[in-house]
Amino acid sequence: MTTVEERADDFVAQDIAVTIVDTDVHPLPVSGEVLKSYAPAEWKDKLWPTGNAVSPVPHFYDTPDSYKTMSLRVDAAPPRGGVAGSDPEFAAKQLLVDAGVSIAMLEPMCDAQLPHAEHVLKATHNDWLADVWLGENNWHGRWRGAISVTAQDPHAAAREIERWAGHPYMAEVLMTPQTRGIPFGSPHFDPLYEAAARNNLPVATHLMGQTPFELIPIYPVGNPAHWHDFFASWPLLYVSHLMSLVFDGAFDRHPDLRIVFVEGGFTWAMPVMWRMDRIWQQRRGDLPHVRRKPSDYVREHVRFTTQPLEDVNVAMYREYLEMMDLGDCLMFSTDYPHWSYDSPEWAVRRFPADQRERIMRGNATALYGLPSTVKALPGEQPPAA
Amino acid sequence: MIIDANVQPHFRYNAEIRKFLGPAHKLRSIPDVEQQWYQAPGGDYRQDLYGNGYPGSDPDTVASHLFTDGGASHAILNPLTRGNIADYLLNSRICAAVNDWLLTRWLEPDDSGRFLGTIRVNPEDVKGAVAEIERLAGHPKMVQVGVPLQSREPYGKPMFEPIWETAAAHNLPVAVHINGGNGVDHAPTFAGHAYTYPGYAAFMPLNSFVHLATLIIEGTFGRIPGLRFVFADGGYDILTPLIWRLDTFWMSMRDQTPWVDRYPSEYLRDHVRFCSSAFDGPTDAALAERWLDFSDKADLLMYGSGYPHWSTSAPDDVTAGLNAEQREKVLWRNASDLYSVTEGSLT
Repeated sequence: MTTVEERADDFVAQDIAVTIVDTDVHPLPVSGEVLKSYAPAEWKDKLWPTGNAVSPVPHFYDTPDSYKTMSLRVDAAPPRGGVAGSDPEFAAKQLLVDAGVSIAMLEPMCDAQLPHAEHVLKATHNDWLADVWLGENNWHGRWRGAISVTAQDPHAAAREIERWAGHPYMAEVLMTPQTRGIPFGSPHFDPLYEAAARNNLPVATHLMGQTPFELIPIYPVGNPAHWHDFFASWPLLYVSHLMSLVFDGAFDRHPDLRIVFVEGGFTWAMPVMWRMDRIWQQRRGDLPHVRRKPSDYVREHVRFTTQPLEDVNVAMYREYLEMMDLGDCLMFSTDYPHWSYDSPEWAVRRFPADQRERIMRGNATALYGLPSTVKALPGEQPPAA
Repeated sequence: MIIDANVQPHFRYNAEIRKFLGPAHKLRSIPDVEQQWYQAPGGDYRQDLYGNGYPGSDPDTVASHLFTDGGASHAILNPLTRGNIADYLLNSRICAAVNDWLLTRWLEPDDSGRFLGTIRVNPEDVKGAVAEIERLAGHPKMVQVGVPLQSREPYGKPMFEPIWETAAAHNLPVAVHINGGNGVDHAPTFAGHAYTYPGYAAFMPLNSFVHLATLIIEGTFGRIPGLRFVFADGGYDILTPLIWRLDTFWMSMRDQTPWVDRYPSEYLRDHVRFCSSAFDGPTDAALAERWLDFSDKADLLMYGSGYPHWSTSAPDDVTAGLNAEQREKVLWRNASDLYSVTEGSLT
């Protein structure tokens, strides 16, 4: 029998059409020791200072049953052991075969205190990702990876981007939005943006609540106490960065820069575009460097991933998305294997009919230069026409 | 009928406030209203109003602009104070001075009854704020309590609750508005300090959502049925996407806050109002009618000119594209219900 885990010797992969691109998937190393094996020797004992703590990750603003679940889907733990998202074969079965995702973007998450240590940690993740997920285990070509870079040292980030540019499966740059008080439009990030744009790589950013408080932004009127009021407000971090990118001229300095806001909502984009357009109209004298209408920059330079969709009345939601008319800027995502996973079949019917193909596939294939067919996995049925 | 629910009256000159301070505070250092990091280049207020006294400082001129030219029948005056200055007891005296000035210069000399006022309090001094509400709540022209949008803790946190309880006990809504002056505040955006004035002004009102979310999730609205908050800087256009998100994740997390016994959006109608602003609403008026119906915003929105701010908006601009019923609610009905102001009370 041929399974995803064990291919029969005579298995010949069929080509199947790309129909669903998942722009937010989180792989995890099977253990800290495995990750360390990719680190430079002199850093092996410096990157993971454990002290006397026994919990692996501090779960402030905790998600449901987080001590047990670590914010992961409990049914995504691989049968062969390890935490959810640590087994490429099982993830392929669950996400690609069972859920029907054609191509998935892998976005590891990590942070460190010191800028150089963070750079080394990100580079280590890149070497691990390229080997464990984007090497032999990617014989089917269904995984794409993000080049993790530190936002603290944009020159080191630029070097890391150059190190991976040209890799067949590294398809974007990934930086944290939790930039410790520096908005995205700041010239601080110019070296990073230049390197990404030069190599035609979008810059994705992904917020992460399961970090130490030191990496949680200070909310301007103070921070909420609970996960739900915290998380519902958190898209305002992306709103802040987006306004900075536009008003501080980043898209004028970097005409080829593309930004992908991951997991931070997108229904806010419509009122935020109106808002920026209104104030730009009224205060153009304060913004001589902003040459175009702010909403034009958003449509050209910015993409949003869809998970977690707001779970509201479906007909009303579709009407909202029709009014928003941002179908060229949205890209489907599941957030596999995290607890708030959106399945493709649950999500797709929430999009207006004439935006579905673009959101589920077209926008991502255009942005990342993805193929129109991929290899079928063992046991995978071609999607019905 | 039009009720203007958001007007900022000003002292004739900044130092005039010292006439309303006692000897212990008269010589303290107090910021000017526009002495803030993020002032608008050229001044925060309408350029045509500078010169002859401070913009918005002469009751007769203000009355002529709002009532004669603007067609309003009433105006809710919500003066600025001078920021969350570090000495919170001094700040409380400044709030009291502003209140005494508002009564002396604006509310008591006005025989027409068209000016209504706000009791400004300092939330960083909870006992002082409660006492200030108790001191003035009986005045018939004081129709709400006023606090700054700026705060180092969101207003749903439990330390503030005695202030809200007192306001609700006197049937006074609490208006939240971006303050003047200069104080000890966090950076105004989630990503840090803004580099441009538009970057500040476009974002700042959206912070009201954090106050709102915490007032719901901490159970403040649930415990104080009569409590009503007015977010006077607008920002209501971000309400629909973010309250949807709060509804969605409340469903997953409600075991952590079991006192929130219904969808967060279900608290809006009984507890929350917004004033209009020049930065809210679709740029295409053809979308305005449908847009206002998402989250039933027609029941939440009150016209507020923001006079004399540079972005002062006229009733027709705020209601462009709305249907007759929405227009009526926004221009006067919602404010009339909230403040118990009726046409008859004109006389």
